[in-house]
Amino acid sequence: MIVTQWALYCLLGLAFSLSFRVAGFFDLSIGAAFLLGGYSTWWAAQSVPLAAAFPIGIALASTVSILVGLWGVAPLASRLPPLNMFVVTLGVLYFVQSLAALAFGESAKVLRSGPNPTFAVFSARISFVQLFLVAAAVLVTLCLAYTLARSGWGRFARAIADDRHLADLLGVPIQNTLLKTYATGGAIAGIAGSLFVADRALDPAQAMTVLLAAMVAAILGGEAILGAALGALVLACLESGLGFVMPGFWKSTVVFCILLAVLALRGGGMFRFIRRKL
Amino acid sequence: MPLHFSNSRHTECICSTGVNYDANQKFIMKTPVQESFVPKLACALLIALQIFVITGCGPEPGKPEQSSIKLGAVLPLTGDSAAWGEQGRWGIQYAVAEANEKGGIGGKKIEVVYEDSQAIPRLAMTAATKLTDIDKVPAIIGDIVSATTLAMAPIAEQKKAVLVGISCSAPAISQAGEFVFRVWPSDNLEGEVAAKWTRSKGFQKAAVLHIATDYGQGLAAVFKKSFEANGGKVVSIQAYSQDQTDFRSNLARIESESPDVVYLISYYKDAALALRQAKEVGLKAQFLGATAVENDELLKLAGNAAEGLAYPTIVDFDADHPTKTQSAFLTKFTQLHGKKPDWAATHAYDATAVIIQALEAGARSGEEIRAVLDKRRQFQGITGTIKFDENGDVIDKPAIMKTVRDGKFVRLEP
Repeated sequence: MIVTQWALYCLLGLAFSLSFRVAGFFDLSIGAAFLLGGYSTWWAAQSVPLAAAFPIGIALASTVSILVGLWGVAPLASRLPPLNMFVVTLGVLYFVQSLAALAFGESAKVLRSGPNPTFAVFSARISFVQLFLVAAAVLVTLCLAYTLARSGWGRFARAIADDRHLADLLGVPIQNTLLKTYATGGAIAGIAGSLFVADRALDPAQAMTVLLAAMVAAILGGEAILGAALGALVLACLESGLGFVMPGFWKSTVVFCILLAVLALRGGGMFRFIRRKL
Repeated sequence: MPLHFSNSRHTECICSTGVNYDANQKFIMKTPVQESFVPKLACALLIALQIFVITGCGPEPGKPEQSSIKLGAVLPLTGDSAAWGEQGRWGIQYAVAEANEKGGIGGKKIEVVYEDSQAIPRLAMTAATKLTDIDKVPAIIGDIVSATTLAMAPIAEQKKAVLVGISCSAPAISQAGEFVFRVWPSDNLEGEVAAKWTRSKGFQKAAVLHIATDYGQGLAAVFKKSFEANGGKVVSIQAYSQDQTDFRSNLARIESESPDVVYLISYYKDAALALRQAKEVGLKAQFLGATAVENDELLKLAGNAAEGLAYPTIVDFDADHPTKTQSAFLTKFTQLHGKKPDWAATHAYDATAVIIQALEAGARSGEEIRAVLDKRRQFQGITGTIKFDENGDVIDKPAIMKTVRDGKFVRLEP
């Protein structure tokens, strides 16, 4: 279903785009936050009601992202080139993947056994989890747009994304802004993870698959952080639409061909027009 | 083992580490202690690694013969299919422990080197290369899935190591090579049983949702051919990629064709998700699965959405109706692992037993083991007698239909 796929790609695309644009490197630890969000929600749901499990899961994912940012990524980011940081964050992702496999096992986890409750929308049936997923994606996009445009952190983040060296010269608190960026990205990825385990089934290997889609959404979206939301929409429409005209296993190939074509024709992504507004 | 090549690579690596470090030090603020310590630590680690590789790779010339016989096993020990890999490993361990308790092979213990394929062909190829080149095993047990077995087949052929598949069922495996055998029948049997049962129940229109692998494509083709030969019509065939978790688009397309039955050719996790999502979108059709769905994880993930799912299976081991020999295996296995053996465990046991019986007949190299398997063609396993045809395919395996009822896998009455 297009809206559900959009919501998932949108959340992860925003988290990825945020750290990519502000920190300046491909931050794969977003996948780790996604896993942490999903697993901690599942773990919390074993002993507390679902309504409490979601905030716990998201808070845990965000906290771990802050700690990883504070002790791991942030100190290294100022010293290492972007390619090295890519490897560092890949290490973080693999570490969390292995930790999740060790702690919870390799088998997939679901919040509830069996189908989720649904309601009818015209001729279609939609589950409440899908509704929450879409609502979360819309809400996060709006909140992020507002925060980036109006808050102090948002202005600093945009300044760093625009020109890091100039921002540094002008006294923008780089470390502090980066830390808040990791925390925000981690929380958004944590939300995606929490709702993913409720809607589908989560296993440690899942992170890389969704991360890849998030990267495509972010790159399609162009230089603006919020472009990832539109990139996610293009990706979801392509995946769902292509499913009707070709075998499923060709979808990824075609999507990546389109990504290549977009990058060749419009190096800055499909939605360069929203650059100034983020 | 290309020892000199390995040596020169490490030396080069040490040098380049030093050069890069010197070149970059103006950009990196480091203390003098760090500057001298880091390259030294890197050198020490690389030397330690080199010593480990040199000493750990096979016997040195002139040393006495090894006191054990090494076999290889490639299974999905992690990833989506890990539940089968775990059962498969337990089945192999059981068969090996049984043989070792009887004194091993000519006084030598059997030792198994396990490698993880994650059900990914690329990783299976790496594992098979490592087992044949480094561990020098004469035979490999595995894999559970078809795509990885097919990926390993050319390596087994080239290195002349016997490959005994556990539950790989793609028809293409029949022609995969002279060193390739399997103890699970080809999908030709499963597809035909599923198609005939579906037609016997009066279902006219079928849709197929299959995983885009050799296994999925092969079984879908067999089912379509047999179903249409029996007077039915396959109205839609949908392939999905291995990492897919949202099947709603596929299910919507299937629903638009209004089939009577939907045949899910997938592993248990995908089947569970597809069944859940089919219920969520309100798709009303009889669901038919492949043998691969029979795993407790399916019941955990799909819950009541799995109720009524029918599937064909090989009926050579039924935990509810075991034979006398199987009963002892069942009790001991359950005591050891806290779980009943499933088809992955029993067929992994059989694949191992076949190789052990070839070793007992005096075979030691891959070529000798293959010669015994080709000549004798009949072995004893926990599932009964294992007969191979000229392609190395197991034959004469009976198949029946089962279903999920009240959260359990039970036999369907004919």
